Amino acid sequence: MVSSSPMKLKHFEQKNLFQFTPFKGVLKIPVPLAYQDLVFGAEPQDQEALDLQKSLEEVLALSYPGLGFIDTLRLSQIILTKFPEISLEKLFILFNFKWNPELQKLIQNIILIPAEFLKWAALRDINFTEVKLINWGLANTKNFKALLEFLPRLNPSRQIAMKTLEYFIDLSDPQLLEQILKFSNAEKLSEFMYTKRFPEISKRDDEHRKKTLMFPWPSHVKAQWIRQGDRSGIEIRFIGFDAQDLNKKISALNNVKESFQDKIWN
Amino acid sequence: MELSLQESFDHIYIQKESLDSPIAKRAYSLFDPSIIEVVTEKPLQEKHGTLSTQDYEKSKRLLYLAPFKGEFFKRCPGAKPGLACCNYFVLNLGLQCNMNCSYCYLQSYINSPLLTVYTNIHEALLQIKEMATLYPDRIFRVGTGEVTDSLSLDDLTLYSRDLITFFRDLPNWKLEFKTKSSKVDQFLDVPHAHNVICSWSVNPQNIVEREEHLTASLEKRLEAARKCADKGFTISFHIDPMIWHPEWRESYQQLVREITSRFTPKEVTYITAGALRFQPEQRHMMRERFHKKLSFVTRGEMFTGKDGKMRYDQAIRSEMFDFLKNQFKEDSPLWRISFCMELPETWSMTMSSSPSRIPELKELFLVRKQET
Repeated sequence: MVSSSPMKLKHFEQKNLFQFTPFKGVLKIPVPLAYQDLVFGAEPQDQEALDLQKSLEEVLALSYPGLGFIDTLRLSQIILTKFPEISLEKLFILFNFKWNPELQKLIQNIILIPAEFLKWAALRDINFTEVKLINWGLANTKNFKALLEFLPRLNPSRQIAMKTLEYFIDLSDPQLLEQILKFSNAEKLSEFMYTKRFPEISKRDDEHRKKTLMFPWPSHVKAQWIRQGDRSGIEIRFIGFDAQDLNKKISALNNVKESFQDKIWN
Repeated sequence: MELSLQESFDHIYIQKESLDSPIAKRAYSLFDPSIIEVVTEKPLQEKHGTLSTQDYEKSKRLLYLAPFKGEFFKRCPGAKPGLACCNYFVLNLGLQCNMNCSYCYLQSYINSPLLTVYTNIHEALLQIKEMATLYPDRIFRVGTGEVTDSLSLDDLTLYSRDLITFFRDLPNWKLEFKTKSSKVDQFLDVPHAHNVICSWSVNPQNIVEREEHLTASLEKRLEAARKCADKGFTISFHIDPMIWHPEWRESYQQLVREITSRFTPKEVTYITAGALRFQPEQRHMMRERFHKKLSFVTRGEMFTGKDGKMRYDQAIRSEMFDFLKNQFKEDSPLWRISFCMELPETWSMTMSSSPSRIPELKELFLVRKQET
C-alpha cells in the first residue's frame, strides 16, 4: 500500500524523532518512513526513509494491520506526547476504531506495560479488549506488573496468557505471584491458575476423574471424565469390529451400568 | 439502599414533544427545575454505541423523558429455541434502571448513555387493546420489568395506576410488575380485577447488600409484598439469580424462611428461580464496576453453556435448585416453584417435568400451546 503512494527517498538530514521500532515482525512497511521532518520505523543503521506525501494518519492507517494494534498504540503514545498537533482521533477512525476516552487512556497508559510483554503482545496480536484488561489489572491488581514481566519468558499462547492474567486479576491474591514465578512451562502454569480460579469445580472434576479411572470398566473401554463448558461427564470410547463384537461389548458395559451411580456420581 | 426519586438523578432531559405528558409535568413538580433541560434531539448522541464503564455508570443518573417510536410489545427473551421458558410478553416502559445490580444483563445490552422513560404509554395501551380485540379468547401475560425495574421510578411515572386501571377491562389478561423496589403505596388504592401480579425479585440479604446495590432490602421488599397481598393483588417471587457463595445453603434457607413465615402458598401464585447467568463479554464491565466490592458474581466459577451464556456448572445449578425446592416443599408441598431461563436438561434433573407439563404452571404456557 505504501509503495503505491507518491514518495521519494529522503536522506536522514531530518530529525529521527520517533525512535520507533515496531515489535510486530511481519510489517507491510518495508523501510523507515519519513513524514515532513519526522522519521519512524528506523533502526540506528538505517540511512534512508521513504518520504510520505500523504498525511501521517493516512499512511499509518494504510499500514494497519501490518503495524498491529499494540504497535499502533505505542506509536500513538509517541505522537500524543511529542506531536499533539497530529490528530489521533482521525488516525483511529481510519483504523475503524471508535475514538473514545477509553482508547485515549489506553494510549496514555501503554508506556506502563513492560516492554518485553508489549513485544510479546504485539506478536500475538492482542486486541482492544485484552489491552483494556491489562490496563485495568495494572491499575488495580497488586503484583500485576511483575506477572507481565514474567509471562513472556514462558512464551505462552495468546489464550493461555490472557486467561492467566484474567484469573490473576479475579483472584486478587498478590501472594500467588511467588508460586507463579516457579513455573517454567506455560501449559502447567495455565493448569495451576485454573485450579486456583475454579477451586470448587476443579475439586469435583478431580474426584470424578479419579472415580472414573478406578471404575471396573470392561477391558475394551477407554473412559475418561471430561468437561464441556458448564457440563461434565464421562467420555466412553470403544470400537465394535463387527455387529457381534459390538453387541458383546455393549453387553459387557450393560453388566456394569448398575454401579455408575454409586461408584462415579456419588 | 433504595434511593429516593430526588436522589436518583443529576440531570433530566425532556424531549420537547413530551412536555405536555403527565410524567413531564410531574418531573417539574418533583425535581429542582435547574436540573431539567428541554431538548429537541436525543442528547449525548456522540456517546451512543458501546458504552465505557464510566458512561454506563453515568447513564443511570441521567433521566431522559421521550416518546417511544416502535413496537412496545416484545416476546420474553427466555422464549428461544433450546431454552425452556414461560409464555410472557414484555412491555417496555423505558430503558435502563436506576438500581445497580452487579449481575444486571443490561450491562451487555444498553448502548444509550441515558436512562429513558417513555412518555407515550397511551400508545402502548392502544397496542394492547388491539391485541385483545384480535385474540379475545387468549390469555396473555404482560410484564413491564425486563429492561427497567417496573416500580423503582413508579412514584414519578405512576404508570402502575394507568396499567392496573386499563387491565381491569381485560380480566383474562395478566399484568406483572417485576421489581426490587419497595414502592407500592402509589397504587394500593387502585381498584383491580385480581389480574395484577406484583412480583419481587428476591435474594438473601447478604446477597442484596453485596450484589444488588441501590435496591430495597429484602425486609422492605417483603413488607411491600405484604401490603400488596393485603390489598388482594397476586404475589409472586423470583429467586433469580441464585448466586453461589460459600454459605449459599444457609443464606437461601434463611430466604425461604423469610418468605414462608410471612406468606402462605395460597397467597403466592408461584415462585420462579434461576441461577446466575450472563453474556461472556459482560464479565469485563462487571469486573471493572464491582470486583473491588468483593462481588460473588465476578468471582463466581462460571463456564460457557450451550447457549453461549456463562453459567455455573450444571451439577451445581441442579444442586441449588434441588435445595431450594426442598426447602419450600419441607414447609408445604403446596408451594409452586419453577425454574426460569434453564436448559431442558436441568429442568428434567430437578423437576419431574418441564414447565409446560407441570399442572400448577400450565396456565402460564397456554398461549404457547395455542400457538404451536
